[in-house]
Amino acid sequence: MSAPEILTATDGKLVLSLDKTLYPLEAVYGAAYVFIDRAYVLLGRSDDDITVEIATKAPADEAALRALAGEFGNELLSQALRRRITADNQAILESIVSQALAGATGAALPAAFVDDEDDDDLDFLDDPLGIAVPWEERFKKSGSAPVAAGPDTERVAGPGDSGGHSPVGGGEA
Amino acid sequence: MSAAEAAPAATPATRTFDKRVYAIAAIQDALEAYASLAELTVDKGDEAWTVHVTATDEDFTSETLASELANFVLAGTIERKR
Repeated sequence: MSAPEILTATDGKLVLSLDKTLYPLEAVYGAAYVFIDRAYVLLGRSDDDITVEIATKAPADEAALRALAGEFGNELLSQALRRRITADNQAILESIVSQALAGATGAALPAAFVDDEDDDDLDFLDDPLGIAVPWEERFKKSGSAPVAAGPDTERVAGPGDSGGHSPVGGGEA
Repeated sequence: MSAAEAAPAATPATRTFDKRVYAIAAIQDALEAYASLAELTVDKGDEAWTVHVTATDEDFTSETLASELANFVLAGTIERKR
């Protein structure tokens, strides 16, 4: 037997028999839990099989009961697959959680996460990447002609420079 | 009318809980929870506990209460197994 076997499907009550070697009890629990909002579920067990009695809370004919059996079978497969995936990925899950917990508690990180360069002796005024160097100095061409002053160029302020403000209009003071 | 509503209130309904499937603590919790709604008697066997439910509240049938009690036990068992 592979699929859930329908033993009875009458009077609003469905009885299924499951091969317990194919469907672990935890998968049956999971599937039954999904159905307890719309049906009454009672589980039983023999040496080789698990029996599932499902009584619908609303009236249901035989066709509805057989459809319910199909839904239960699908849910069983889903639960069994989820359980298997969880078991297969158990080591990965534990590794991720342990690394996350270790990082949160400040414990030693794995070697791959450790920065080998010791930057702790740098002062905050140090600028090893030259970030504080002005753009004009960094990209200034040696020996090139001076650039004419314009609205987008900076120039050195001299005596009598009003900072661009000319109250009398036109000439310098 | 569903199967759970078929029996009159005075007729006892019975549910058997296999100890390999159900948690004993979940059965005990259910017995406490439903004590005010029904008269509950328990046969404690080696492999299973059998609960006889006789409704004392006329709003519910024994069969309905027994089925609800079974769902309560199942949910309690699953929560304990997780």
